[in-house]
Amino acid sequence: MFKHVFINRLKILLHNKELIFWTLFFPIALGTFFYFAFSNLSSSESFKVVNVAIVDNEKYQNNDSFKTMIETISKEDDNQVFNVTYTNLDGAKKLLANGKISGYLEVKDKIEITVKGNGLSQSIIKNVVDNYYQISSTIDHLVAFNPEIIKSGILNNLDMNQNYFKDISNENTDATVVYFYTLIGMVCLYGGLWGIQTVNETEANLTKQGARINVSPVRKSSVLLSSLLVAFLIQYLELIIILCYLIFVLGIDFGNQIGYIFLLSLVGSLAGISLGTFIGIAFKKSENVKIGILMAISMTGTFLAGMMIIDVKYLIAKNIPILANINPVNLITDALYSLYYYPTHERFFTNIIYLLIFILVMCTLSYLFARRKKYDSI
Amino acid sequence: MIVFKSYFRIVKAYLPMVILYTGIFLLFSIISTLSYKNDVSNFSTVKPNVAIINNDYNSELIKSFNKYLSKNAKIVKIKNDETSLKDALFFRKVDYILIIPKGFTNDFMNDSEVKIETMKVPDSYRGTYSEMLLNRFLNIAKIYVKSGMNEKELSKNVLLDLEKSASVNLDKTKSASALDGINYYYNFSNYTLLALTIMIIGMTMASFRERNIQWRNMSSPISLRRINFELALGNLSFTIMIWLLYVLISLILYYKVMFSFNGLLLIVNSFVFVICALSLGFLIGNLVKNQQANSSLTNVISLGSSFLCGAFVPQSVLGEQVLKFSRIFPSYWFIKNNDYIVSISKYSTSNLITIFTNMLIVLVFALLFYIITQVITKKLFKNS
Repeated sequence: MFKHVFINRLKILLHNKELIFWTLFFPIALGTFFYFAFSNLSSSESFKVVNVAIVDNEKYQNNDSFKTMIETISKEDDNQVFNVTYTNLDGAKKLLANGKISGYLEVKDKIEITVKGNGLSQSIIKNVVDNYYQISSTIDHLVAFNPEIIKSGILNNLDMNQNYFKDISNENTDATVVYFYTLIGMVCLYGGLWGIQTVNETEANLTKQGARINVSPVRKSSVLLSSLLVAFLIQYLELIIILCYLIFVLGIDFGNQIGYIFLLSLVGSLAGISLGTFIGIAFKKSENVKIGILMAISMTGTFLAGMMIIDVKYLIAKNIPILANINPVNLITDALYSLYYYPTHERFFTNIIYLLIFILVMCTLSYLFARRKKYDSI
Repeated sequence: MIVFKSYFRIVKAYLPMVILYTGIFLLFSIISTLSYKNDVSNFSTVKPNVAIINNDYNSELIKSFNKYLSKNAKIVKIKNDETSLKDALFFRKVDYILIIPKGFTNDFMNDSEVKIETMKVPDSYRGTYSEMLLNRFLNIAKIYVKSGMNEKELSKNVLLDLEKSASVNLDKTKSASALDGINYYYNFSNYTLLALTIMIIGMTMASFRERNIQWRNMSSPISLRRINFELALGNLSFTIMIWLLYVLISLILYYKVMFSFNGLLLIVNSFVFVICALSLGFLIGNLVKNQQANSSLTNVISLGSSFLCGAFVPQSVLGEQVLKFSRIFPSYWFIKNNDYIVSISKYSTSNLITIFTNMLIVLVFALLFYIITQVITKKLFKNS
């Protein structure tokens, strides 16, 4: 009997085009939109050489030390900071007005910087000129400290480019991946739609099919469990398809740990189905209202996990950790994030444990609502 | 006006939807406006967020290093454990993390090799800039070490050196950044305006186009022409109501900048756009009779065009290929025009021509959707 219900439920659910759209095609479309919208976002953060114009006047040509400095930092190598255009004052003004340069320098009695607006590239220009004055000040101090120093040769090889830092940061720092992780979290909760649908079609007071099934000589638990198993399998399969699309077609970095991702998908799908089952059983409302409740929960969950504003995830985790730990979308997102960003799996398994607790709570509640239900008159 | 009245009776059922979408929209607009409060009347350098973890003792050298940092960067306090540090970096709460090793001051003063461990987002603008600032201090300090200066004097001198700075003139021809918030508001409205008009017009039209209802209406004494006229009137008034609602909200939220020529142009631009959305909703309502299919289509169109045309992520950050592709959506021209209107501080004829050309393109889209609807409905009508 289990098999009979299983096969027929599979056929029924797979014919539900609307559900397949929302749980499979919609996430794929959304993932594609994310991909196109965010593909440039991380590179816009990366360092670019600053475009600067220098007013090529006599004073500039005569100021050897400043000229040498500008030439050094605009040499085309790994340490290039400036991309310099030499022009006259009008030319520089025009370039600035057209947005071709971030600012221009004019050597008068002092070096004058002109920029339009505040920003990083403008700050870098100022920083470079500051540096020129700072080094002269250093030299003054040195000479005052020890007049003999001019002869010693230290001044001739002032090494200002020595690096005192050892970078120990992680290579995987592309924050846009979080959008895709929240998407996976959202898909898992959308899986609840399958749960709601299944419950609706097996409860006697909700649909005629449910009433028919309840008068048949089959144990109710057997019907419900085999139906939910089908719902889970469909959801799991869809999730794998979506993951494959994101990883292999769009090339989103999920941290190359397929085994762990499969495990997480399994637990995530279960979380979605169990939430849907709970909503389906606990609320005695029409199907549309139940779907509305599930959607409201998933949207709030994805918002708190950072899909719309990525900072939300960080702020919640830092300030209201309980909210982060009961939100299944955030748990799934965080598990994927920890696979991507952290070398160890401690955090990943913490998330999995919280998810398992969530599933357990949902299942227990559903069981309490579903058992010993009798229909006096329908 | 019986058709017109029943049109609005159906629309009324969708009122919660309007409130929901507008609520979400307002939430995002207000959040984004709060984050746009930078003033450009004076030049100020960007201060990167730096976290510093000192495992050495609080030496003179490190004290003056801290002093320098607090002037040129924003020092962020983060709990000193690996997870907190790494999370803060990933979510860009901090641009640069320095971990000063034990014995740093001694090694540095003795001119032996010493490295500070750092974390940053690789190749990032802010990370590179922070590194420039920090390296400068150490490089100058090192010169003093090599010349034999003691720690106390050195620490004082480095700070004096680094106080020297160049003056900056700010070219103030553009002061439009007060309009950034309103720009975001109108760009984001692309999503809600499209979603609401397409969904509600689509669903209402679909209820009138249902076969039995249509047969019933055709057998009524009201002429088909009259019915269609009243429906069109209903669509138009609904669209204008939604548009007015959004304009009104923008006038309240951004009253400081909206009562200007830029504001007026933004309002006109959005009116042109809702007319196009109306035409698209009309097409979909005639094409798709199934309400579920309608809501799927609405979501894909409104979200898709918003993501690809720059309603959520600004056009300036989108890829070139994406922007080329998104020209096929009216939203692209609407948003492009918003960005352009906001960027202008002094209007000339050539500016206005560009703005009106963009509006015209949106209107051509509207006309195109209308013509397609006419062609398709004629065919469907004949077949039935």
